[in-house]
Amino acid sequence: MGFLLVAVGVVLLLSGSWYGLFVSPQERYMGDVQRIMYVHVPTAWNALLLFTFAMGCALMSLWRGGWGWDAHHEALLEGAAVLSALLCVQGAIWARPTWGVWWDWDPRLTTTAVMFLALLGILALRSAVDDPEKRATWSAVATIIAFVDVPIVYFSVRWWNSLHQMQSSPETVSAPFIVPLRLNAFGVLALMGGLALLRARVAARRTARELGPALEPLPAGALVEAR
Amino acid sequence: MSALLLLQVEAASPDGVVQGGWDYVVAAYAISAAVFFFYAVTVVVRLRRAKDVQ
Repeated sequence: MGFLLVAVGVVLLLSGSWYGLFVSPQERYMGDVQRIMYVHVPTAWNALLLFTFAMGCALMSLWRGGWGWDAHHEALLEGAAVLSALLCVQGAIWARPTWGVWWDWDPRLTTTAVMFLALLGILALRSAVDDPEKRATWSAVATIIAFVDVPIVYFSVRWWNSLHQMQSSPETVSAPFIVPLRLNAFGVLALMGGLALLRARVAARRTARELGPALEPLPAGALVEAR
Repeated sequence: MSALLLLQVEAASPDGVVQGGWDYVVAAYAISAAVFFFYAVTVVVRLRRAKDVQ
């Protein structure tokens, strides 16, 4: 399933990028530079989405237990961190020709940078804690606290004066721009979703090794709490 | 400083439309493709190592 999603994501991304670069018309004021939107906006949407899924896994890990939730939590955190870093770089490249600067301490940019640093912090916490039980619990709590930043990132352009434009939607974007935007949005989702499934297998195998003795064959009829 | 400002002014036409900029577009797409590719490679390599250890 993971590899299939990755393949679907690659096809969608190649199609969307080709459409965005060579078929879609120039934007009236930003000209060709606006084509960065077709990779930047899907990256932003999916960074927030992966963080939201990670938060869901963190909640389930605390509420229901089970190492599967913890493995997916770790995988989604890593994916969200990769997308957040890429988002900042893409944004800087788009900002230079349109705003005249690579970076500005604008509310949207600052809260996105905070999100990236928070994700790095949680991943650092996970790698620093050897006990799987403590690692799962502490990082889940940290993810839930850090998730407060996600709605702030999303609404920052409405709540404060910002250099950054408002959120893009089919109502605010001309029709020819929507096709590549959607293709790439689903492309990034499929690619990173597939990679998250594969990455979760890595985390699950590591946890299984760490819990080695606990996973030894049990006597027939034994009933053991999952976690 | 004035040369820097001049460069920035040259990027926009008198009617405020950004001119050119394909180098920025190419940079954004190339960096995105590189990040996706290398992240995918690291995940697959780690998955294979995890299978080998098991």
